[in-house]
Amino acid sequence: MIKQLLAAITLGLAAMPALSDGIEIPKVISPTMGGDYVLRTDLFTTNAVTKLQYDAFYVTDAGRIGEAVENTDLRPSAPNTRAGVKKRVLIRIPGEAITKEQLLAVCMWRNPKVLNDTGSSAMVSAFRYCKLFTAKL
Amino acid sequence: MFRSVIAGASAAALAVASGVPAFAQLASQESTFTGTVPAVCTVSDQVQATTPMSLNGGGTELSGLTDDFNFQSNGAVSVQLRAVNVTAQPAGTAGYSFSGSLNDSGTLIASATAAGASSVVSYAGGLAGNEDFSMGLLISAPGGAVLNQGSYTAVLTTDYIAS
Repeated sequence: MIKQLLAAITLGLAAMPALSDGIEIPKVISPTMGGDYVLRTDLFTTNAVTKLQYDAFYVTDAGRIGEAVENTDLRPSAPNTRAGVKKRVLIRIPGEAITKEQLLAVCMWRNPKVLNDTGSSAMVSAFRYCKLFTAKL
Repeated sequence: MFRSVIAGASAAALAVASGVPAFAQLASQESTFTGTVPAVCTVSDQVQATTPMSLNGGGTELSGLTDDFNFQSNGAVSVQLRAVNVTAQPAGTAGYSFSGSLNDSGTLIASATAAGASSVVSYAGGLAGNEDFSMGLLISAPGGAVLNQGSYTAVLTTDYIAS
């Protein structure tokens, strides 16, 4: 009886979705004393990810994720994540990049592997996870 | 079970014998556990990373369509076909059209080109993972001309936006 119960629970857990890709950020941020914005961001992923990319983006009036606030090439290194473990990163946004109270987004993604010179044509699928927040003046 | 009862009785007997007041055994401590659940999602039934494309229309169209994939979320979300990034194409194809599509259960919900992102499609009730999404790409030449030979590669990116 107990074995059957445990088996049912195990099966139930196995069938449950793994909801663990996400970003934790404040809903609203304000500039620091220096005028820049510092966004404390917790990234977490279902599986371990090597060189997880992340950045802040503008959001258009239509709700689209627009251009990056800053050039990501300036970031010295991308973090690695462990499965289900939060990774704290700080995203600094220059004060001059925010000219009005506006909606922004933090997105995280992993760069897809694109094999060149394979001799055949292909489309490569990629996903980004984005979370919205408001920057106040 | 019996071992637990015996152990409990032994502990009580020991407490009495040692002069420790019986009520001391009933002292309790409480701790408050708090936590938040952020907006989270996952892509289940993971789409294959690379999808081969096939030539159709007498050599005028090169297209591909991913297998179905699902999003799951714990709150309202939006999806957007963020970008069609062409990473390889033969010489002489600069004017070609790279048209990406995001489909929900076979119905086109958003389209994007190499020049611009799609509109945003909102799911106020979240996504329970029972909707079949797919991404597609169609490459064509101006005027319906036959495509230049060579390898074409493009990366299609779908954004999942949590508010």
